[in-house]
Amino acid sequence: MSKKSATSGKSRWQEFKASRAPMWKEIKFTLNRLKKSPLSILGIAIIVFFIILALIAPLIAPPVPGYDEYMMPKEKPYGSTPKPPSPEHLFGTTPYQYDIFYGCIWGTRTAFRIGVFVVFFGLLFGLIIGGISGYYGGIIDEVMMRGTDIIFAFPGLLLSMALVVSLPSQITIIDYGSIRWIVTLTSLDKVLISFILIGWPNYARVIRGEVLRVKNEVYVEAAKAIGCSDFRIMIKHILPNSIYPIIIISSLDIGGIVLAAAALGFLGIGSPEGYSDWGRLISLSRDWILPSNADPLSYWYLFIIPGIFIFMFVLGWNLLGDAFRDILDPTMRRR
Amino acid sequence: MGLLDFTVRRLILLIPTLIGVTLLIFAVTQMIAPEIRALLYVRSDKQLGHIDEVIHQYHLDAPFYEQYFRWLTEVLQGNLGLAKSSYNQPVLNVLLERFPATLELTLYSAPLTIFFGIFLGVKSAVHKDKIVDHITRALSIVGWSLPSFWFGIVLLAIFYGGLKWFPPLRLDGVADQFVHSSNWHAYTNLYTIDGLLNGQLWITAEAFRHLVLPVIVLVTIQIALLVRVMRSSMLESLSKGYITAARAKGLKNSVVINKHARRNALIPAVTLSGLLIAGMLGGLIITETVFSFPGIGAFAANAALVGPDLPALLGFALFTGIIFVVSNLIVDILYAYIDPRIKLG
Amino acid sequence: MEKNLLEIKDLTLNFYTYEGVVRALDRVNLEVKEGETLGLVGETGCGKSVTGFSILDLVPPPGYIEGGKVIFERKDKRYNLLDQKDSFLRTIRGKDISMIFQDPRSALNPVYTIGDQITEVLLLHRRVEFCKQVLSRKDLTRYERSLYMKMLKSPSSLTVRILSAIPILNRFKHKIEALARAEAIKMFKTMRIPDPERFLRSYPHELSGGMAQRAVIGIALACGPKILLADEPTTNLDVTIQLQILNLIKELKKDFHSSIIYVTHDMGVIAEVCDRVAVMYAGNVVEVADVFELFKNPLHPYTKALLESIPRAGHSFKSIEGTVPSLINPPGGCRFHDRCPYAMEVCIRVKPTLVELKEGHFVHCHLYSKGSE
Repeated sequence: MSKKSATSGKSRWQEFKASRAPMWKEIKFTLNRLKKSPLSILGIAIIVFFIILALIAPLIAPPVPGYDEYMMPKEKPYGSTPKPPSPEHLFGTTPYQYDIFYGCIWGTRTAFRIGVFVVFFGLLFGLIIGGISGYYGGIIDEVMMRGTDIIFAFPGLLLSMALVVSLPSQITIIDYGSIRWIVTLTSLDKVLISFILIGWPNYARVIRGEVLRVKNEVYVEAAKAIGCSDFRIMIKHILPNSIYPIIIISSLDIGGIVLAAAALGFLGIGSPEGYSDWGRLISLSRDWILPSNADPLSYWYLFIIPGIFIFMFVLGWNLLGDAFRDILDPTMRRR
Repeated sequence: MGLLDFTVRRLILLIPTLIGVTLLIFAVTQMIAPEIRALLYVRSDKQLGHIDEVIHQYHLDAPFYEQYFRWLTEVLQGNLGLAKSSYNQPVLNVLLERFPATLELTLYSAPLTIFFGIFLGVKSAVHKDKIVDHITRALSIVGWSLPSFWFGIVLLAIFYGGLKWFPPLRLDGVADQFVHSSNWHAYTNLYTIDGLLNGQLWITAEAFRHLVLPVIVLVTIQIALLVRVMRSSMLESLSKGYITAARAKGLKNSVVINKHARRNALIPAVTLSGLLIAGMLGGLIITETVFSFPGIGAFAANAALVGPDLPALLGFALFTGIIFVVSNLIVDILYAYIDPRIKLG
Repeated sequence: MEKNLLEIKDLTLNFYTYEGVVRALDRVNLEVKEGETLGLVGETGCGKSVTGFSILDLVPPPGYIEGGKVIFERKDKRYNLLDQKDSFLRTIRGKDISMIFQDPRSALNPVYTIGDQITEVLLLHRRVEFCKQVLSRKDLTRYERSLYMKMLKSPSSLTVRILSAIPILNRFKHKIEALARAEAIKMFKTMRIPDPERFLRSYPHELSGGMAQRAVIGIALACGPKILLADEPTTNLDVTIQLQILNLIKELKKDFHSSIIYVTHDMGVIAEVCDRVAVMYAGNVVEVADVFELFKNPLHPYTKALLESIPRAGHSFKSIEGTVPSLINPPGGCRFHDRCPYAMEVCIRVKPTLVELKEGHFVHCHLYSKGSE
């Protein structure tokens, strides 16, 4: 038998549901607005499509046993001339005979891994540091702001290139007596780490801004007046009210990160040759599609197809992020 | 406090920021082995064979701050090391030589981006939820989602590979030979302008022909962001009290929008434009690579790939960092000029 | 008997929102006579501000005027403002009918000086007068003279506009701008603002609330309007400043011979400033009377309750039972019936009609419409 409250006949569960009713109303309103906006539906559809693609990758592009599943299969003879789409190679092959179809499908998985990994850790650091900085202020805040200012002084791509080049390939985390934990970083790992290192200040800044705004709202003062602990205030009051911009920027950033990773891949930085990464895939064909070759159009499949994958993936996330931005803007909500 | 005081204050703040920038770059290099770091101090080919001497001379095993000051001294004397990826030429020389190309790209992309970005943003906000708005926003999202290198390659394939209208590189063939010959006097090193100054209009035309595609790529992608920012700030401006008050004065709608709403909405757009320009001047790594445009961005991309060429990359980082910081300063001053509330600081 | 300067007949206004259709104004009737101050009083949300905006057709979407007339008399012709094109209304706004706002600092554009904002309205509406003044001077160059003649004849001529936009060539405007500035300074001197020159050079954020409100009032009165719409102009100000501004408004009204529609929720202000009062509740006008008559002899139950609820030292705090109804599905019949201590059965079904109980004292209430029965 459920516990009944002493003050009313309702059970505790019913009371809890009633107290959350305004929150449900807001969520329902948001979902309703999302449904109505055709662009956001398109965005969600695209993302769902890619999720499915990533999940069924092993089925439609079976990996070659014995090899790393992320490496594209090569077919003998390893001629350097790319081949156009054919029944065996649905999207054709790159120079040196990597299967483009395989690369594109497994590239979906790579894209999700990159995007989600970087955004997740970036948000994590950003939330912690930005939250503390915004809430407690003082010297911590000043230092953090100056630090992020300096990082912002550089165009991201450049800084990530510099970091990728400079980061050591082996990091010793623990070297104490018989306990040794050495982490080996692949080139791709370095790219991811450099993105996180460059990206978290942005999140920290946004979150700090939101925390500052919410901190000065009257209801936080009221909560303090009745004796809520700092931690409780942060979780119960500040977090739910600052969450909207976070949702917006993370969805936009997943697209942005994948775009940046593709750009680096195109330059040849990041994953090794033959890895299923859309950008890297295109870079394999650079000699055949860039100006030195007089007839790039006949090798259209080398860049058009992987490029469409990148474009659609990023477009999906951008549509979603943009739709969120429109819907979650509090001043525009009730029109 | 007037605009002058504000400028002076910000100029003074510039110094610690610059120091911070150099510190960051230097800190990044500390993760690398001394032999490679020694390359940063090398002035001539001869020294390349005697790396140990260089290490010793510049105390590369000394504590951090000592090294930092030595490095800073070198940098201030103009020595950024030799570029392995560029025939061991001094990094600074290569950067200065290639900067005009990047500058020229920026010179033509920036005004187009800013002008159309603001124009479309305003139109989009004023006609919210109508056809104009939807189309602009759709194009803006598409533009932002395009991988720049992919878009560049597609354009090249169609307009160069297919139609042969707009070639890559900065100048080629006869034109390129001409500008390196003795008949050519380089006033600004910007071929479009120098062509006019030299009286050789065909050079100007050729230079433009080569600029078309990269400028299209840059404008398309960057305008997306500016339109979005301008639109949202315009919408916010339009919902403010002074708009109703302006209407209540009897002003025409177009005046209300252009004179009252837009001035306020421009503020974030100006900041963004400044950042965009700074970003462009700092080297368009991808775009220059795709079009083989000989600017500082392509230099950096090459350096990262061939080697990696540390002095080149770090020299580039330093160069770009300084440009960024200075541009931010200019943007801040402009911002204070437009928005009178800021001056009271 | 003075004639009516402005008549609002059966004005109905709806807001179309996500939650439903808000019936904000329901057949509102009002009259404003020449030279009088009409108070429009009621709780927040009763529609008093929106009535003011409707007069100038400044109600933003999702608000739409569904019906009614707003008749304004100008130069012996009567116009229904709701029927007119925007180009006509623009000649009325700021010139014949002006508005002052609740929050002065948000009514002023933060990036322009006060001087810019007041000369804007002066040049807009009194351009012809200023042009003639400039042209009567002897020291004009041929160039300037021809431009000013052009400005006089066709104010929006392309030549003038293009030349105005070019930095050095637009110096010809200095003469007319100087005239406008002189007018502005005269205006602010009348309002007894110290150092009007400096005032013109200030930005809105540099001013205190009271000074900013004076700027807004100055801008509104600059072209000598016949009707001033005052939308709660003192609500956001300190009490001491409130009194100053109220006195200022009273003085200026005398100087400029304007009528004022004073919208407020503060009965004290009404008593201080108004000649006649209209009480509004939930989108309806419920009572209209002379100010003394209203205070002495309130007829409508709502008016009575309002007057009783004014806090007085020594008396216990009295409030009106219940809350203002949601206007999405307003109660049928009389909208006050669910809070009215005198409610009858007929009040729930039928909307009361207007009854003139004494001369000039009107009331919408069933208590009085069947009075003679």
